[in-house]
Amino acid sequence: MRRLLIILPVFSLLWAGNLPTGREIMEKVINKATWKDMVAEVEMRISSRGRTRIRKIKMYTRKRTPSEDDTLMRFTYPPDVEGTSFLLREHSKGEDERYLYLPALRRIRRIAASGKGGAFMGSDFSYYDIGKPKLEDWNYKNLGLVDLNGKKVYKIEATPAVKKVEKETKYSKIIHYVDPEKWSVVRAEYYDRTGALWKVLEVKKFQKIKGVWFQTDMVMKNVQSGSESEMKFLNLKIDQGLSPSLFTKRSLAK
Amino acid sequence: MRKLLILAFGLSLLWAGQFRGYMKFYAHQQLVEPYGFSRLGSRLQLNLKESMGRVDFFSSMDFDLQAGREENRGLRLYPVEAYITFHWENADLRLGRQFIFWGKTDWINPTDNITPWDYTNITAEVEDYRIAVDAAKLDLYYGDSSLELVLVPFFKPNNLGMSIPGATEEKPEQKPENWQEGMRFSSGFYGFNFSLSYWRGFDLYPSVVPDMETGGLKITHTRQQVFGADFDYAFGSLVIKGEGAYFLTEDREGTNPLVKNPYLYYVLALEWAGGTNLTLDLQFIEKRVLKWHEGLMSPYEEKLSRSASLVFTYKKEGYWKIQLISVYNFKDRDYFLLPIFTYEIADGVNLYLGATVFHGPEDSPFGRLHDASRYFLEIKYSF
Repeated sequence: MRRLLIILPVFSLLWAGNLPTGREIMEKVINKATWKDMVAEVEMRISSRGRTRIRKIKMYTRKRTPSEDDTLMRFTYPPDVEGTSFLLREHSKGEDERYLYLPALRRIRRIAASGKGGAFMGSDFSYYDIGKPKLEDWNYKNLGLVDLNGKKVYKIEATPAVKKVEKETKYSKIIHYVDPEKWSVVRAEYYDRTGALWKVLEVKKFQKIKGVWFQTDMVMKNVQSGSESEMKFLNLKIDQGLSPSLFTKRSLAK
Repeated sequence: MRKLLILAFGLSLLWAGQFRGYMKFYAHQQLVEPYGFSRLGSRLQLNLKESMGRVDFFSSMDFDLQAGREENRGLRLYPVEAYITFHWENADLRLGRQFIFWGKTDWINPTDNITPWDYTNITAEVEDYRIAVDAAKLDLYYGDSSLELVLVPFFKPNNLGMSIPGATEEKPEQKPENWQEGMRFSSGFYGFNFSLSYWRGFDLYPSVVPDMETGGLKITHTRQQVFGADFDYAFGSLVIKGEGAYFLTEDREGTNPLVKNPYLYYVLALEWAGGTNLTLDLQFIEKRVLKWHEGLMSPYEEKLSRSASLVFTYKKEGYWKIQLISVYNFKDRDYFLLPIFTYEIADGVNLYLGATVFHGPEDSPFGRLHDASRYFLEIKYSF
């Protein structure tokens, strides 16, 4: 028994030496998706100060280039915002383009390229949270395998690679919990710029499409304000052959 | 035309696919004597939308019941918009009553001379203070570039809500020679968007001139051609926008004091976004009258007028929003203020509380509209 107690730590040390790096794990998480385009209906439940709001959108995304996405969102509920559309064109070099069509104004408005840290549809998710993160924006550190709800997951610490990322996302640190079977984040803890825990993400449901696991039900809790938002992806489909013309200003105002 | 649109709306009820709209209670009380309700009533708006392959139909009808001023009392049916759109791969053709807005800056758009304003009803909603026109609009697309061709057969002027005792209004006759038309080319590269436009039509603002036949005054709308351009570019939390136009009036040499001189009118805007909650939009506006001849100018014209506008918006998405729209003219020191507080009572139910304030010397642009100042309360349920 005593011998076993000595051998185990040695083995675990050897094993720890073969652990993938934080960057390698996050690379698998971020770049696992091989889809060309995606369509989904998104339902958002936002609970704050004892009140619950429902928001529904139809979301279309396509990969314009391997590192650049185009996204079109059409708001379908509640009725007073129905018809509002948002177009995002990512640019790996230069500023992203963002356009908003408000049917009440019958105009397409150019909106500022920044604001990734802002609340998405007034929820606890930020625009950054729902988008695809850039691998090079963060420094990753593998904190090892930990137990989460009876399952071994990788605990990864991500810190902003440059000050600009911290300023834009408003995060000083993110702790990702990655399921090594799905190569998906199952939980994340977001820390604000003062270093205090700000938000906690729990992924409640996954869907496997064409061999890739997608998060389809997520809850983001703001531990500082007590508010909570749940985002569900319904009728998620990939590789539908979406036309590039869908991601134009013409389509935005339709 | 109005009866035709109401009939089209009635028929479309039979085959409408989507029924949307709102119910609204509104109370607008004057801020100046006699402090009465300029508008008090309820409105049901029904929007019908149907798509059949390459053809879309859209109609928006107001059923307005007013109990305010005597001249407005009663039930009124009003087709806000009613149009049919044909879609092709690289073109859209829209026929019927519609809103057509040009330009990229906020509130003040020198290139936007198609859809008139109703200055007597400025509230939180565009459809209250803009008047849709009966038009044909053809959009041609090539990649991210587009060419828009517009034809407006029937002229509609701005509603200023003012009357000049004894003056007669002379609107352009409804005949093909008086049709208004124009085009706008829009494109962009590397995130820089721009448009070039041309419009040949009538001045939406009236001119008051002596009537040689009666010896009194008459209100006319003179012909003009508008050569315009606009742009926008975003970087970081800033958006730079600009819009300008050269107005070529009938008095090309500036020698007729009864007709406006040609002029340049432009707006430069800088918008700053503090996250997704706060936006500040500051605009500088200049109007420069050309071919100026001392002694031959109308007393209403200024050689150079400069203004500034500020739009401030702060919102807690899904809960409330505060917006302040303001315009200030440097020379006359007159101003326009439109503060609006919007509170979302529940999903689809909103309360609007705001005021429209025109203030300045009596003969200044906003001072003349002083009597239209009011505050308003509206509750709207969208379905």
